[in-house]
Amino acid sequence: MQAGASSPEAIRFYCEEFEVRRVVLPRILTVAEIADIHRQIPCEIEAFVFGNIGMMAEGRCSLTNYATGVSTNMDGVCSPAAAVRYDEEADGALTTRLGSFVIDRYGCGESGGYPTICKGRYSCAAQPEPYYAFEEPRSLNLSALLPDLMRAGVTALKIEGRQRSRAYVKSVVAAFRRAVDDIMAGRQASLTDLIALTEGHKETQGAFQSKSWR
Amino acid sequence: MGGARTELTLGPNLFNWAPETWRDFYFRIADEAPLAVVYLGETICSKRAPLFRDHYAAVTERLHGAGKTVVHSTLGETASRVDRRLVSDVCGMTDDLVEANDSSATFHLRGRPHCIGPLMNVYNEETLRVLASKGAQNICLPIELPFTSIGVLCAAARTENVTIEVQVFGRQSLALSARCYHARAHGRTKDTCLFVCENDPDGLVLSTLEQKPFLVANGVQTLSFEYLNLAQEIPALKAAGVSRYRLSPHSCDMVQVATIFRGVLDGVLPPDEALASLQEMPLDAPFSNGFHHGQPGYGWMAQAGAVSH
Repeated sequence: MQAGASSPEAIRFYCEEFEVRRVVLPRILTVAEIADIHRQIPCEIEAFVFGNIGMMAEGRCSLTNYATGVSTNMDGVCSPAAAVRYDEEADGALTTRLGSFVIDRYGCGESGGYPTICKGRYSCAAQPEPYYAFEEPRSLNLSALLPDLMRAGVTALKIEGRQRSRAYVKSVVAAFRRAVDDIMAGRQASLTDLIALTEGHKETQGAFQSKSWR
Repeated sequence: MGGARTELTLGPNLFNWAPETWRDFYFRIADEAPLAVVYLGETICSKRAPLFRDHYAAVTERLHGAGKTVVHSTLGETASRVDRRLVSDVCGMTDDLVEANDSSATFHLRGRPHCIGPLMNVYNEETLRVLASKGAQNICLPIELPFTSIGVLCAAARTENVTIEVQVFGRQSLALSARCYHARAHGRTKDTCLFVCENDPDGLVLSTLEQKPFLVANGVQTLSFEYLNLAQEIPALKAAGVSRYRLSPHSCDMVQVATIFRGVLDGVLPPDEALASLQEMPLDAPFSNGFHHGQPGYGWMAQAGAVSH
């Protein structure tokens, strides 16, 4: 079970009670906050660097279950393929659905993302025109922040592989391995090839760069 | 424990109500609502906590005076220094029990009696036993657990001397984030929000491209559009051993809601009559009970389905 530990106290609770040696931090912290946490905990840090941006705190999201009856916490899936539908409209637009809910719609020639609730387009009283209420369909790519993450005390990098092809995993992991080796050797790291692999070819540094993301 | 006394409780207010509205709501709850336990405190955004701080002592005193048990609830998502200080301060309140909503709070509370809130993950007996061994006396289960799991956890709780609580009314908490979706809807960020969430006493409804209401934003929290309503399921929950039944506060008449649910718990109001009364209330959304039946959470199963456990 994902423990959703996002403060030094929460992490120390797990370290002291369960002898946890390494924590994977939720994707909601800035690099500065990660460095701050690193100074206050007795264990290693692993950080997400590439894949789904995951707007909600890990282990604390029931959105998929709400729409599909299959749970992220209990069944291990986010937006299961069996509940996804792509419908072509008369005007050539592509509508994406999860269960019975429309998640987004793309015009002819627009590249669409996989329908996840937290990357969908909705409207509300404050925004009558549909907008990305949680986040745009982009992937998390922290390659540009790698040196900062390494300085902040991150020991291990986590790359999302779930629901991904072997070819995808191979190229992403190889690119990050080269980049880490380059940085360690004092060389300039290049990860520009990764952009082609990000969702809808758009990427973000999510919460990690600054608090203005919040 | 099937025939044991059942307690009706009021969960923490999830929304940003004006301080006087907040105070008057709880004064009326203290004076008129048939509730045994009232959970107080800010569980969503640490920026809101100072807004009603001036009224906190008076509300606590009024609730105590009315014979209600007060439990102080902690923040669901703890990351910033302000968040951490708020959790630490609430956990330092020792006159009443404290309800932990993340493991930052259990860090402070371990070793003394406390409660576990529904924003903590308690999905299996082992977790329940560990938390009980750290001092948990009451556990309010996560919203998405189906009835079959509730039964298993009730059985485990009995041997640990822990009581089990289940939410039976109100919008269901579906997710927590670091980003404030209220601020985002108004083109602001969490740091520059100017407290825009104060305009939405029951949250900000998000609709799909087909104009179908879907979710509700409340600061960093995402809630269901539908209001959970387990009035029909109460006899089964009682038989399974659930001790506490939680109403989540909304701007509707919560004294009336409490009176209806108390009637069902006491067996003096048939569940179908309770449901009919609740349906007549001026709520801004329909009811749901899907999670309870292992179905999509937004779903609603009418009584015929509900009694076939």
